[in-house]
Amino acid sequence: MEITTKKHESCTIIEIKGRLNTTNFAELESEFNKLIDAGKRSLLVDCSALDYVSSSGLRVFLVALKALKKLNGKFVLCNLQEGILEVFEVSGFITIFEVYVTKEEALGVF
Amino acid sequence: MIVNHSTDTCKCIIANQLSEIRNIVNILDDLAIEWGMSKKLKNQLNLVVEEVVSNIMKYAYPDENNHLITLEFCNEGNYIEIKVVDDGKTFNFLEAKTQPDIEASVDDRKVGGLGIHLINSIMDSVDYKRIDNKNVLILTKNI
Repeated sequence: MEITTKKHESCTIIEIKGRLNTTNFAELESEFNKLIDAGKRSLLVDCSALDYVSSSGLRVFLVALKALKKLNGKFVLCNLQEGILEVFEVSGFITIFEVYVTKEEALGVF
Repeated sequence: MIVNHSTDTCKCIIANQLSEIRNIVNILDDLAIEWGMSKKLKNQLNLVVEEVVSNIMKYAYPDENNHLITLEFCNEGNYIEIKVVDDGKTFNFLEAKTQPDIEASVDDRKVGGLGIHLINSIMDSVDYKRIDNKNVLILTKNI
């Protein structure tokens, strides 16, 4: 898995590439924590290159969403591939996360 | 990982180490090509196996000893069967009470407990037996 963080004028964009699973979820968790600790309150996760996510990865998303909600921040996802979207639907995450089809749409909410 | 592979079956023996997850990905990549599985099916089976195996590695062994987990994939033509055998403490999958409230709001939503829900949702049948002090989990997915 590769994590790339980019500054945007209205938010911070985190691009995740590859497979997010039980062997590497802590890397993403620590990246989210680092950004939140640094005062970032608007995070956009671009999942266009995320091929796979297991429950360990879902947990990291939920923890970040809860943390930012408490801080009146925003945690938004975009570009979910079909398989990832299915996991979000099955787990009920689709109703608690803000998920957008395109990055442009997602950027519009910040 | 030790692999014993024939046309319609593949038996793998893995150590109880999370690093084996990578080897499972490779095995499923190979089986997907040989058995003509779609990317979707391959990823679904991969997810289910990861959830089962990581649960075993995290919770089944109170000791620090090395243990082996056996995975058997079988192509039955109209369905794929996956059998997972471990010698950890008894865990009756069918009685697991970890059903998350998938309709809860963000604040009420509990962190964790999703693995078993994903397994039950994705697979068409889940069967558990305790045989000779081993947990035997048999999962099937129609194709």
